[in-house]
Amino acid sequence: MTNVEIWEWMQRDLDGDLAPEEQAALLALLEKDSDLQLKYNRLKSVSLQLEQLPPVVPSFSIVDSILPKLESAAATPAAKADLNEVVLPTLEVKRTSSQPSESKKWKNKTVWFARIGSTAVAACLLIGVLLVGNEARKQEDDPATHGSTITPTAVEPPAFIGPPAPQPSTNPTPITEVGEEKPATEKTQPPKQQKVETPSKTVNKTPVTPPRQVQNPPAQSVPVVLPMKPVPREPKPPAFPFGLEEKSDDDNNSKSEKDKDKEMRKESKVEDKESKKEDKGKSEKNKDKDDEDDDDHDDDDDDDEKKESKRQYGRTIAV
Amino acid sequence: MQEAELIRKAQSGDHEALVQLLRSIENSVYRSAYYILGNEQDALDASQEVLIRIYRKLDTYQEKAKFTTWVQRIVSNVCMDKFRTKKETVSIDEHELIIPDRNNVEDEILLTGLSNDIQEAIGRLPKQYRLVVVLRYLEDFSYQEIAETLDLPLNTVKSYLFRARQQLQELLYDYQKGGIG
Repeated sequence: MTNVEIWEWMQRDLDGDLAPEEQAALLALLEKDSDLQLKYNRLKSVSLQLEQLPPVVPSFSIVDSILPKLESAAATPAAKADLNEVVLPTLEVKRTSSQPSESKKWKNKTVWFARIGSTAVAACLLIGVLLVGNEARKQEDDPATHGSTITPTAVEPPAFIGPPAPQPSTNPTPITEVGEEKPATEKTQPPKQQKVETPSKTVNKTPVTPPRQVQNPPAQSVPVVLPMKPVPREPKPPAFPFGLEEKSDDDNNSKSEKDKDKEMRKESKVEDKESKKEDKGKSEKNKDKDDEDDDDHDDDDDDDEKKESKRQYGRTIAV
Repeated sequence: MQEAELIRKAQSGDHEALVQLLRSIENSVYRSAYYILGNEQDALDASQEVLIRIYRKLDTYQEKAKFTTWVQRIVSNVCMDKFRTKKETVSIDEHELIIPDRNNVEDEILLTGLSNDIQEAIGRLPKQYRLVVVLRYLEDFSYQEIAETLDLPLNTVKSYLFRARQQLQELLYDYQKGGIG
């Protein structure tokens, strides 16, 4: 038997845990070994002291001191239950707080739908703009539309005396023929009328300034016709929205201007006829015939006006 | 009235039986708390808390275990909580307050005619050893009951008890020689 086993048996003997045979064997060992006997005696004295510890008692009754607390605690469980029930509404409040998140989701969805819709609308508008632009370009290319845009601007001077205008040409080169004799007629022409555009659209805004120079006294006018400054052909104006805007502007003032122009044209025609009869006479019958042929071909008074305006334009440039 | 009958009546809502049951365990609760914690004030506080817990949780007690075992389990738990809270809030002032309490306890022990050597030696034991010694010698629990109370294996309880006695023997021997303290 080892010392550890003997030590355990001594401990168990103090607790009364050894069987009678084990207790006898331990006593035999202790009698043989004085050191073991000393240890056993020390342990037994410790155990005796522990067994003789005084049974301390509290100085006052702890139960009596806590009874008021216990009685109040007996009432508190119900109160606590009430408190717990009161806590539940806070949980309901939390549930309600979760509802806004759902509404936020719906709001987000609606925002997305709105964005998609707005982009679709924007795309449709863009497509529409492009289509309208293409149509406007086509209309500009169409010669009939050119005539329609030019008519309101064609204004003749009230007294125009001169040979019949030649055939209108699309060539933007200056017209050097006729018109030397009529600087006086150009005096009466208002500056606004100088903005006349030729059917070929060869005129820019640059020729607008010359009429002011032309307004010089006609006495000095030597029939010197300078070649018209070649005007570069305008590139195709942007189809949209400029064309449309111009049209709209014309529409605003077109009625009043057209009426005035028509009256002016009628007067000028009458004067032209009279002047042709009086001044040119029979010598220019051939030319008149040509003009009449042209008129027969065109059957359009506006064309004559355009021709004359073009002639006049050539004259205006001549200083 | 026997303990089991008191327990049944208290569990059924008999307030008088409950108070009587608490009075029957009051001294043992305080004794254990006193020897575990080592001072009167902590023992009183711990005893009050233990009795209140028993009052509130008596309906959870089942007769599978001994009632005293169940009560001493609560005592050991409360005392261990006290140890933890004391460790977290150690300060010089509290340490100074403990000393006079201990002196009072020593006076009380001297009045009963017992030496304070063993008391001081118990205070030097590890907490688990202290619990086992108190349960073994003051509550007269068996190894099995100590194991159930402290929720420890039986061999662990024996080991703790044997080592606690060995340490106490060495401490008391050194004290007798004048080397303790």
